[in-house]
Parts: sequence; structure tokens; C-alpha cells
Amino acid sequence: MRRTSPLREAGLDLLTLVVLFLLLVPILWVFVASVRPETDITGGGLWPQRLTFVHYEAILAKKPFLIALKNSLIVGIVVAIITTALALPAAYALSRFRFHGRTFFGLLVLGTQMLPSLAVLVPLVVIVRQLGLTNTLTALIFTHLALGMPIAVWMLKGYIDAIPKELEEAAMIDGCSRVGALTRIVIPLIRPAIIAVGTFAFVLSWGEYLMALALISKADVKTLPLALQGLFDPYSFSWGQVMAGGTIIALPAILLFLIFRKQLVGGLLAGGVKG
Amino acid sequence: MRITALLAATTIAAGFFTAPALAETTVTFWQFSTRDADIAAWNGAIASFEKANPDIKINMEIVPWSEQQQRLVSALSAGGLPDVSMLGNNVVAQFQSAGALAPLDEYFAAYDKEHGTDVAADVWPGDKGYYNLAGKWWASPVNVETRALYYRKDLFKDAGLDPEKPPQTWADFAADATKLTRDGTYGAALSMSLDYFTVQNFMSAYLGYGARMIGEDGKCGFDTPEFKSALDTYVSVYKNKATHPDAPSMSGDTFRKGFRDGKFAMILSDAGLYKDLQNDKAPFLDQVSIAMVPAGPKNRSGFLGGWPLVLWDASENKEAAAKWILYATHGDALKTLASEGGFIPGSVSLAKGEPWTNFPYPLFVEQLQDARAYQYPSEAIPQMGQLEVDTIQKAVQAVALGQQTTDEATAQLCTTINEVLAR
Amino acid sequence: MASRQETVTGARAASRPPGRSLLPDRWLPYGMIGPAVFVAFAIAIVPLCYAFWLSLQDWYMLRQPLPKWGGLINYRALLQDTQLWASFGRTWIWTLGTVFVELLLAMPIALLLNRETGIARTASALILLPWVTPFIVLGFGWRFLLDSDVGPIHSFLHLIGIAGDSSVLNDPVLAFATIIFISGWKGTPFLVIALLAALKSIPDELYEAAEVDGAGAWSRFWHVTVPSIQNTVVTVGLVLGILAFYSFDLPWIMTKGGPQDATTIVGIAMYKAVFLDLRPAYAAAISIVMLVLLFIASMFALRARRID
Repeated sequence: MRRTSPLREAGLDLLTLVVLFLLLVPILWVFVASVRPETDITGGGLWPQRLTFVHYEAILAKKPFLIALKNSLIVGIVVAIITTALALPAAYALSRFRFHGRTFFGLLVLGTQMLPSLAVLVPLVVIVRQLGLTNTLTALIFTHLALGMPIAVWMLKGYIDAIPKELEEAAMIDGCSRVGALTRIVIPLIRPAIIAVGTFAFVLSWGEYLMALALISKADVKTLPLALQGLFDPYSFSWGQVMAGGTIIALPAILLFLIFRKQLVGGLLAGGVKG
Repeated sequence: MRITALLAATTIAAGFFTAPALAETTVTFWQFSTRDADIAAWNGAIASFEKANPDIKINMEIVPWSEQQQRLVSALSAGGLPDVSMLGNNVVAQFQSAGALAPLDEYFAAYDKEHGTDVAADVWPGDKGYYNLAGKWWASPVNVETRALYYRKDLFKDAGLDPEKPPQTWADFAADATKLTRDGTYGAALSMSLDYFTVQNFMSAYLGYGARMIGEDGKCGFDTPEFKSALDTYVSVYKNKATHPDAPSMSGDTFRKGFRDGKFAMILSDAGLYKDLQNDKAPFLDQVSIAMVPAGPKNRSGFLGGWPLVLWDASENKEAAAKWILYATHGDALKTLASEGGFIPGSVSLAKGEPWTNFPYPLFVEQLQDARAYQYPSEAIPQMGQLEVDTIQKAVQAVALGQQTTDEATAQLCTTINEVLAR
Repeated sequence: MASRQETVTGARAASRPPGRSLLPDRWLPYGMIGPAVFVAFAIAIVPLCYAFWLSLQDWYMLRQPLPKWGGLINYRALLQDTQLWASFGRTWIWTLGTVFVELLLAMPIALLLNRETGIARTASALILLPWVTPFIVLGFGWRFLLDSDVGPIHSFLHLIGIAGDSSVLNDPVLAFATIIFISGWKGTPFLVIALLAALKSIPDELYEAAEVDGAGAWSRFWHVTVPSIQNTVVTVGLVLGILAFYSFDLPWIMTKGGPQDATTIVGIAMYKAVFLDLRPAYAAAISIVMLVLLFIASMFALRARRID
């Protein structure tokens, strides 16, 4: 990165904190509300005076919630992996090869992004039922693939386009196969993009509600959005529990992201594209 | 050749072993409440039913109320309906009209024969309008619910009103609400939003003033001076700033919570609210009193809520399913479900006994006699489910926000209703 | 890796590499794109065909349990449905507004976070929070913040004169604008991350060369940064736009489409048609029309990309 003075960096850091705070105010309120007693949330003013974890206890005591958490994690991770695994070769093929049907396939994949879940809901449910896969995580995983894959393909294609072909060609002249060139040259260079795409697929799957609603009714296969919706019982509604539930739902996604932060924000191979 | 013979033999042998197990029928039951107390109560009812009927197994799936319409419509179009489910009382007509329900008359008759009862006569009068369609019974009531006027005696005193004389009419209600808005509290928790809560309250007003939703000709009947008076009186509470300024966009939950937090002097709500106040250990609990819902010039009408169990026509286990329905909606099973769930049972005879003789239930039970459907006095219409969503609420909201006059809003309302009826 | 790069000097004509892959090169592209196409086909094409077929049926679930052939009946009804066209119009405003807010917020934030300090790095992870929090929680959170009684943001808006005595959610125009802002706010983190990845791939040398040529900070931004990230902005902007176009959860939770239909966008209209009005064939026709319009719009948007 370009050289700048430490003072300037410190100043920009301060600005970052301020901007971050402003952007996250609604979320911060949700976190804070989840540890305040019920009556304080609506009537107690802005600053928390009392702290309590009673909402978290209540939620975590609900076994269905924990099961839903586990299910969402499984589905999200598998979806992220498979989406990336499918999108990467497709993006590479679209970027590097000229072949018959290239435009057609490309448009086909992109076009699926434009389909609203509501439109495909009924037919997909029919198909899943015919296959006997209702109330399985497998069916959900398969339908979630469609959520992020088109975007993944087009994003990765964009990043791959930006990498000069010379690099792979040099490697292939040295005896590497096409696929080898893909794995050893291209992938490391676009690693941040791959992480971004995988995370994107994970997050879309994590928060997906409509498909889960249509395909799953058995308690042991439910995902988190379904479980959270169950908390909104008109007769025993608790702000605190809802906020606690929301916090629990947001947290794992953030944690995953903090873990992969380095790959995402850090390194492109410095000098990798020096002519 | 030998392999095929072996396979055939295994299959036949397997058939012999599994045959006895096939005698057990499984009934899928969609239950809509997510409250722990309710779930426990249903599990109890299932356990005792299965004990009495060892060849039937009930498989309860919890489908929250907020999802029920989506789940049922998806299942209706793509398959996957349960055998039995709960159902909102005013969408029974909708699904019956779509041909999705199975009639229960023969099962009622069988139960009556076995137990010497007359279950049809035990149904609340308002419910008959919801569940008896085209001369047949399509649902068996579980829960019945109505709204009454909760009010704060202490706030009445502070405002110079007599705490023993709560408002009897809608006009008085509006007037009192204005006087009660002082010192940081609002007179009434009256909603003007698109939420269900609005129409559940407002229906008392328009029925009380003598307006009716469907006229004799089968078309929209709201375009009358009676309806407009009701609308004006109802909305005046907002225009006089006697309710929360956000009333045109607040949800029913928020109002309910607000009353529990002490922000409102009056609210129209169900019997469960009192239990909530007790659980809250609200400081003003002993100051809370309950009165009948305000009346209009023509009559006193209350909201009729509740839900039954229905038998879906797609079910392949109708006999077993019907047995479960009749079991759960009558006798001791229903009594336990209702007392543990804290609701009033859909059976007139049961509601007259313990524990519904304790405060606050008797008033609600009495009020049930005057609880009516939205389209009273017309028969239940299939489109009610659609219309209940936001049609009438839109008119209330428009007038409250000053975007339409009462006349304009009423005309628009009738146009919309007629359009839906004509589809 | 470094040794291989050093052997690349100048331009090399692309020569046919000695193939060592299992598949002959001719089939390799198809093999690589195959699985993705299969998924697209199964999950999108088949249901799409069904949706198209459905849109030609006459199926009002209230009157008949099964669909029957109706030809163009739904499309005719659609053309006359003024409320639906109004919601189409609103949806375009919604989509463009959302993307505009996202661009406005994401660009400066991405520039701010494109540094190597510890705070910048942590911030880039925390920035994701709005994106990963489910709509239902955000909806209730914002509703509270905008509540005229207890909401702090309402007090602030009241102070600067935007909000009157009652919540902004009561006013049709303000409610629409507010929810558009919230929609953009939720999508901003994704754009920030994508921009960050794009910014990081701009080689330092380009900036150094520009500095050597005497270009100031703004000029460097305009002539180096912007062209390099242009394609990312267009692609991701398009993606976010499409996601926004189909929004349902946010407006439904915040205002249920009100007040008075002011926030009823196409997603809500479709939901109502299927689940409340029980007209799945009509909803299918709406989705086909939406698809066509969106496709045309995407083609236009993609032209804004730079051809490298």
C-alpha cells in the first residue's frame, strides 16, 4: 500500500470508528437490547442501566432453537463449498475458452439469478415431493445452490478476466495442464474473490426463509429463520428474546468472517502481475 | 433363477413380519401455537388419546400461526396437506370453497351415538356461522375468543371520571379517551393501521352502528350512513390525539405491550391479556377492570375469534383422523387443553363450568353471546380470508391519515370488496 | 511461483500447450461448465417452464381446485391492473434508490477501509453485520428506532424537521424513502467487501506512475481507481439491484406494504396474489413479466462495463 504518515493513518482510523459506529447503530441497539430486562427495552431510555442474560437463557433452553442452529450451519457451509466448487470451473471456462454455446450457457446461468423465489416455489416443492425429499436438508441444500451460484459465476469470471492469460500460458508451456494452471496460478490470485463468493453463498443460505418454509415442517430439520419466526407468537411476544435470537443468528456468520478475514482483506500476491 | 426365488421368498417373509405393524395408522396433525404451555397441553391430549386408541398414532407438527396461510396454500397447490390441522375461523369458508375440506357430519353423528351427546347444539352461535356451510359441518371448534374493554380505574379517577362507569357506547368511549389522555398516557390503545387488530376492534363499531359488510344483493353493503358514522367515531379517537400518534402504522402486539407497560388507559383485548398482566406482576394490576365492549346505537357486537380442527379431504386416514378431532374437541380432553392453554373452549356447556367461572372469564363468556362474524348477518363467504387482510383497514387508515374523506374511503372500500367478490 | 513469473518477459504468442489433461481440450470447457449448468437447469429452467405454463392457466383456487387452460387470460388481466403497474413503478424507484444508497455509502467506506491498520481490518469484518442480520430482526429494530414515543432516531429526525409528531412510517412518501434507505443500508456491506477486493487488486505501480506524472489525489482517484473498479461496480451493482428488485421481507415487516400501498412493491404484490388472493396463475404471469423487464434492464446495465 502507498506510504502515508502514521498521523494520517491514526486520523483515518478514528474516522473509521465513527463511520462504523454510525453504520452499526441499529445493530448495536439490538445487541444492547438483548441484555436488558424486558421493561427497560421499551421504557427505560437509551442508556442501559441494568444487565440481564435472562433472554439468552430462555432461548438457549429451547431445544428446537439449538437444533435449528446446527441445521443452518450444516446447510450454509455445504452450500458455500458446493457453490464455489461449481462456480469456479464454470467461470474459468467462460473466461478463457471460446466454445460453441458459450454465450448461451453464460446467459443461462446468469438468467437463473433473475428468477424470484416466489415464482419457482411451487414447482420446486412439487419436484422435491416427487423425489421424496421433503423435510430433508439435502433438498434445501440443492435449492439454495441456485441462490448464489449465478452471481458467483459472474463475479469470479470478472476477476478471472482481469488476470492476464500470459501467466497461465507460460505455465502451460512449462508443461502444466489447463486444470493445473487453474489450480496453481489463477486460484491463488483470486483467493479474495473466492472467499467473498463463498461467504456470499453462505450468508444467502443462512438467511433464506421462503424455501425452508415450503420444504420443511419437521422440528428436527428446521433452520434458524424458521425457528426465529416461531418466537413471534402474538400472545407471548418478548422483545428481549427476539433480540437475543437475532444476535445469536448474526454471530456465527460474523465469526466465520473474522476467521477468513485475512484471506479476504489481505493478500493478493504482491507483484504477481508484474509484467 | 435361484436369486430371483430367494428375492421373492425374502419379500414374502418381510411381508409377513411387517403386516402386523401396518395395522397402526398415523395421523399427521398441524398445530399452530408455539407457546410452551399449549404444546405441553397438546402432547398430554395426544398421549391420552393414543392410550385409548393403541392403533392410532398422532404425529404433531408445529406450524406457527404466522406461517399457516403460506404452508397451507403451498400444500394445497403442491401436495403435502396434513390429515388434521387447526385453521383460522374465517378461512374455513375459503378452504371449504376450494374443495379442500371433508365434511364432518357423519363423524358428529357417530360420536353422538357413542356418547349420547349433541355436539352440534354445543357450538357457540357465532361459530355456527363460520363452521356450518351449505348445510354441513366442516370444522369442530377448539377455541373461541372475544374482546372486552380493559380499563384503568386509577387513570379514570385521575381524569375526573367515575371508575365504576366505564364507557357503554362508542361515542362515550371516544369522549372518555380524550379526557384520559394526559400526563404521558394515552386514552385508548386504538389501532388505525393495516394490522388485523384494527379490523378486530373496528368491527364492534360498524356492527354496533348497524352497518353490514354484505348487502341483501350479495354486494358490498358498507356504503351507508351507518357505516360512515361508525368510521367517523372510530377515527375521531386518532384525530383527537387520544391514541398513540403512530396508531396508523403500529401493530397489535405493540399496543398490547403498551397497555402492559402502562401507557394506555383503555384497550379492547382478549382474556389472555389479564393472565399476561398477572405474569408481568404489573404494579397497576389491582386497578385493572374489565367491561363489555362498547355498543353502538343499534346493538352491542363483539369480535369472534377462535379456531377449530378441520379434516382435510386429501387425507387417506379419515376415520382415524376424525376420531382424533372429535376426541380433542370435546369432553375432558378439551377441558384440559383449554384450561392449560388459558383460553375459552369452543363448547357452550364446558364454558359454563370451572374454571371459566373465575375472573375474568365470566364476562368474556357472557360477551360471547354477542360475538359475531365480520359479515354478519350474511353467511360466511370464502373471500373473507382475503378481505380480512387489509381491505377495511385501508379505509380506516386513509381517513385517519387525512388522505381520504369518509365518503371517499367508503366508496373505495366498496369498489375493492365488489372487485374481490366478483372474481 | 516466482520463478515461473520471471520467465514471462514481454508478450508471448499463445501457443498450443502439450495437452496433459484427461479430457481432450475440446470437451474441457463443457466439462467445466457442466455442473453449474445442470444446477441452473434443474432449479431454474424447469420451474421457469412450469411458471410459464402456469401463467397460461386459469386457476383461482377459491373456485376450482385444479388449473384449467386459460390462454392469455392472466396477461390481459395484468395489463388492466393499474395497481400492479403502480407497484412496478415503485419497484423501479425502489431498486434504483437502493443501489444508489449502496454506492453512496460503500465507496467512501471501502476507500477508508483500504488500509493496513488493525482497525481497518477489524472494521472490514464488522461491517458485515447489517448484511447477515435477518430481516425480521432488522425490521423490528428499525421500527423501534423510528417509534415516535421511544425511538432515538425519530427524536433526531424530529429535531432536524424531517419527522412530525408521528413516526415517518406513517407518511407514504417518507415511509417509502426510509425503507429504501434501510434496504440500501443492509446491502452496503456486500458492496464494500467487493470494492475492497477490487481496490486491493489495483497494482501500486499505477498510482506511483500517476504521482510521478504529477496527478493529485482526486485525479488519481478518477483516472486510476475508478476505471479499475468500474466493472466490479457494474457487476455487483447489477447483482444488488436484482436482489433489491425482488425484496419482500423488508417492506412487509416494516409496513406490510402501507401506508395505503405506498410501499407495495412487486414482491409484495406477488405474495398477496399467491397466498392471500389464492391466484397462483396470476402470480406466475407477474413473475414472467418481471423476468422479461429485468432481463432487458440487465442487458442495458451490462453495456456500462469497460471492455478491457
